[in-house]
Amino acid sequence: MQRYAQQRIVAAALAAAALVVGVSEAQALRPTNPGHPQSYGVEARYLDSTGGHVRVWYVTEGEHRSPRVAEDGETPEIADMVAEVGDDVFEAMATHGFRLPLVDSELYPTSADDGGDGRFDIYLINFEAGDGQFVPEYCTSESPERCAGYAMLDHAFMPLYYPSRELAVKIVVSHEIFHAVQAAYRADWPGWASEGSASWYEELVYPEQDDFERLTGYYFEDSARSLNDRARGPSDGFSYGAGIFFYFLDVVFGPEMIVAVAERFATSETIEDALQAELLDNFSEADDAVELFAIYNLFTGELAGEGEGYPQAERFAGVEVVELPGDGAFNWEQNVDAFSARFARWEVTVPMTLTPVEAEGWPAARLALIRGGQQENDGYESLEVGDTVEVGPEDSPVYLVASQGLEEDAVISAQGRVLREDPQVPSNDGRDEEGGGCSQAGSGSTSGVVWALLGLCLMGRRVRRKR
Amino acid sequence: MKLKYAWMCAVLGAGLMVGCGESSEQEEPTVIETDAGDEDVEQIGEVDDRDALAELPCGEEMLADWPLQEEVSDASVEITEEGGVFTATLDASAGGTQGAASNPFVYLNLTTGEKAELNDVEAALSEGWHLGFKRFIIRSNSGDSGPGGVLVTKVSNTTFEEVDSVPGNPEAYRTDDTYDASCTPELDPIGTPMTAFNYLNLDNPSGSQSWYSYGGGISPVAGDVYVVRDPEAGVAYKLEITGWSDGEFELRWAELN
Repeated sequence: MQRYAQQRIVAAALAAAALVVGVSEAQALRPTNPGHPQSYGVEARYLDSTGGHVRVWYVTEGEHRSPRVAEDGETPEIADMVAEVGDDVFEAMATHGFRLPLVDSELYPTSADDGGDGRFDIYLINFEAGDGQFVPEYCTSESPERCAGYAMLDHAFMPLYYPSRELAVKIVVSHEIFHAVQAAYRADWPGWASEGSASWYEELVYPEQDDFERLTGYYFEDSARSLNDRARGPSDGFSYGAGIFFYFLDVVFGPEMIVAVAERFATSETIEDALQAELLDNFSEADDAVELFAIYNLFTGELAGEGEGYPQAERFAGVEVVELPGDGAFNWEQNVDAFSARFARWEVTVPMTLTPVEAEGWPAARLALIRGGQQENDGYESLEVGDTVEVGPEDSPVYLVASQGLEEDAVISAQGRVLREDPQVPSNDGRDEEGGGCSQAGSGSTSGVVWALLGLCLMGRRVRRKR
Repeated sequence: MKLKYAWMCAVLGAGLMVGCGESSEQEEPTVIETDAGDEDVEQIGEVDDRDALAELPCGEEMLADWPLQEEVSDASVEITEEGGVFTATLDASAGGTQGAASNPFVYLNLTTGEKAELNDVEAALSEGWHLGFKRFIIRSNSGDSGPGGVLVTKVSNTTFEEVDSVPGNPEAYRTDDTYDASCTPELDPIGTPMTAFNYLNLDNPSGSQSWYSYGGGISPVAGDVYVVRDPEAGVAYKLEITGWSDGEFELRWAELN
């Protein structure tokens, strides 16, 4: 059921002489052409959507025949569905402020098959594996290239992997059209950003589907891995799981943040550069956003709290959390690769201290400490190397989030020690000092203060999802 | 230490900063005396060598192509020893046909007669193993697979008992020379990166180019006994693959004098 990765079959780089000035030439074929590897082999029909955005191609006989075609040649149900959903997705794309896919008829050389007009062409074929693919064909010759193309979708969407055919169409049509939108900004989106943002878009326009949640599972089961890691092996779904990061941006800032990142990427060296630049417009450091992203991810699954963090955060699988001893000394040391995080839970039963230290030969990861107990506190604390903070049973459970920004790999090294106070000097737990803090902070359940503050970030945002 | 509502205020913007103080700095706690005795300190987690591996020649390719995993295999390895002959049942089936790539190799130390508790990344930098197993793949700690310098050769049309000396022809030995100079992997007929156990079997009649016969299933080639040398340690072992079923190896080995 995994969708095909966006594949460039375009041979733009090999173009010898463009037929149309400013457009790269390619040997592109569509399923209506006998030379296409998945050629229909019979005469194809098409259905134009009422909204005018898409043209859905199908056949009524042969191996790519769409089911549920009446004997009188009535359009297959699946084609109607795809056309309607296609229009809806285009409308939603415009509403959210994204560029629309490049129009093939405006970009293609006159000799090329553009499907007959400027509508976005969707071909229903019998996929042997996967269920959708966007195929970029012709690209602008500017740098970076932008491309127009078409999509192929499964001809039947037998509801084996999805709850219903209708939901399957919504999921795959929104996903593949988003790939076409990406190509309108530039053609070379890295896998994690390409598949991640396309998976997130499914959630944005059709929150009732659970494909997005399923795909985020690839991230949650491997949350110590760099979010922008390259694919490893042919069936690596991690890039789809990166959709959780785009969802995070959406929850905190709204979809306009992803629009802004895409626009900036159109003129930036890398997607990471674009992302960092946009985050710096909203955070004092881009790494702050990665830290907050990590905290959101911690409070998912079994740690999800009512009304906290992501909407309905319990629908996500949860991250791996190591347990730290609450009554004895420990050293917590782990790699924290770039754009990743590690998590720990600390059930403190005696007064203890925590001190981040340098790990030889490694940059130090960021360390956030969240007091989950009932004592009044001041939000979460970001510890730096050399800081020492006291915690006690009243703070339990304490959560530690080690995160690292996009630049380089790091290590978290933190020392927990049992506190024995010098009777000659009064103790100071350092958490009731003047000089800082939001007055909104107060007591609450696990991480209540964090969410009380973050709640302000979320004020005014709708909770789209109701299950 | 900084209390992080400072950046939250930045996110919220000036209009939402009500209640936020000016300073985010806190004085450090005072009066701390801790039980810093090293013997009492529990170690949580570990720092692995993935980055060190990535810096090796073709390290990035190895990570991606096998692909190497950062978990230690929890597979069952049952080993018995009698009269100097070790017999093992080694379960390298994890993940099955579809999921093997996301499971780690199972590493075996022929000297200790034990499973080596290493993940793939650690193994690539460790001399603590001789052979690694996954499904039908056998790697040796040599060449691109590891720093162990292990050499492997094969004696055909023989029996385990008949092999009683170390073949002396150095050209008969192979290593895991998986990558060429441009870090492109050499692949066997089914696309698996090549190891010493491939190079020793390029003429396998079944066409597998590996230690097994392929035809209606996978089975060891009768009469093949491998010799595994660890020159640095000055030891050599004869090894026979006596059985294979769905990723579970039956092995026996003994030291050669």
